[in-house]
Amino acid sequence: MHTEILSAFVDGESVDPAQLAAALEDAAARAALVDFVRLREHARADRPSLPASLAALRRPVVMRPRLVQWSAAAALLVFVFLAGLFAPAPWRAGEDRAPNDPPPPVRVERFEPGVDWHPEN
Amino acid sequence: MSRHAASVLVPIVLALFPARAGATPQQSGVQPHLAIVARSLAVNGASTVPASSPHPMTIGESVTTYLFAGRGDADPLCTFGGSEERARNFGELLREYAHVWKVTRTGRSYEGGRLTFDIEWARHDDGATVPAAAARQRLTLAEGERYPLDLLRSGSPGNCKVAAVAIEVEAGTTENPALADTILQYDLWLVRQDAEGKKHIRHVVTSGKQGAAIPFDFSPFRFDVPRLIGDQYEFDLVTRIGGILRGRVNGGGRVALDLETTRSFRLERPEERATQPIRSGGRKQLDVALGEAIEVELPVGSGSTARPATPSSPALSGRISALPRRGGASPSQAVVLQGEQLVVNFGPFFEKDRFSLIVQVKKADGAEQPPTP
Repeated sequence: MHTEILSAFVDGESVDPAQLAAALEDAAARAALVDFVRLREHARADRPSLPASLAALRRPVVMRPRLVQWSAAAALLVFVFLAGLFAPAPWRAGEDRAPNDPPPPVRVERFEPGVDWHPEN
Repeated sequence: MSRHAASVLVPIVLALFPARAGATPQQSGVQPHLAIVARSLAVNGASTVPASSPHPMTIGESVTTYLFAGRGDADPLCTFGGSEERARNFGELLREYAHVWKVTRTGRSYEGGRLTFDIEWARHDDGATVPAAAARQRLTLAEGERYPLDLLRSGSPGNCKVAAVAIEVEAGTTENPALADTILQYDLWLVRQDAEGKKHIRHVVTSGKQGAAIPFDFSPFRFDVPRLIGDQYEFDLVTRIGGILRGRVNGGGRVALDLETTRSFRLERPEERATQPIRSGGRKQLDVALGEAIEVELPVGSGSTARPATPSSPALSGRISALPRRGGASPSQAVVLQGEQLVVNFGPFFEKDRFSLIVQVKKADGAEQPPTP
């Protein structure tokens, strides 16, 4: 717990001052704090850096769109196109039904008098 | 088309347009059965719960049932029962009981919810080997229908006050256990399209178990009847449509639907009790997929009804007149005065109206698809 507080503090995150004070009271946590600092300095040393005189040669950071981003965008466009083909168009006239209206029947059959209908007598 | 071309094209066409497997009661795993029903009728009109012996109906197979009643003068019809042929000896029954029936039925077909079978029955009284009454006939009954075979009246009611025993045959079905608990929801619309093409719609929703007979009704349509003379009663012509539905779903998502529909017309006055309507009806077997809507058009009304037109008109005499000959000229006027009777002829009255039912069947409770029977 104390080491987590100190780790967050070293990373620049906001911490509870009371918890920070309690963590600094902990000897093991203080030793871990020193290790955090050493590790950070070690990581910085691994990055090659150009001398100031050669700063002009430092390449500017360029955001190159990856191939996978373009393919995802293309897939999205195709999906939107297909969805538009099959989704019901709200502006189509005559397809709205009142709540009690029947759905369109798939076929119409008839009762036939004398066959399956007995007429009035 | 050459034979070679046909031999190539026909299988392709059949593969593209396979025959649709319709739903029939048989495909729902339904087992038809016939029951011989015996009911005792008391002198005060009450009847007992009928005793029946249902037996599965198998095409070509004969099944014989014995029914027996009465043990002498003190018990003319108070005791009655039944047994299968193999369980009792016919000769012993003749010696033991006053009346013995032997009923044999042979299944012939089961199609469209209707059972066709041959039935042969004989009644033996007072131990006689020669029957006192007998008959043989071929019957076709829809499931749930009964047909009377014999009615035996008692000379004296005895202690149990039984006046008669009625013997009937009843057609029925036993549901496939895998589908028997399926609950089906029926959406029904009654659509009346008037002379201007406008639609008047009634909608009801009902539900029931697989194969159960589910009644339905719609609120009536009322039509004004024109006043032909000054003091004519205020009449409405009231049309009521209802019926019974039986649906059976099979494992393939199709429904065998048995639709029974009745329609009645009645000339009504607002302040009076209901009078006898003029009825018609029909029954149809339909095949639909779950969720599909199917429309069934009712025929145009035929026949007529008549009521005394005014307070001073004499009541109908009760005389039965001949039915109109087939092929004769039908009445051309919708409402006429004949003497002092107001007559409504249904054909011209509803000439430009069209009535139809639309039915849609779904599974009611969202249960998972049942296993294929």
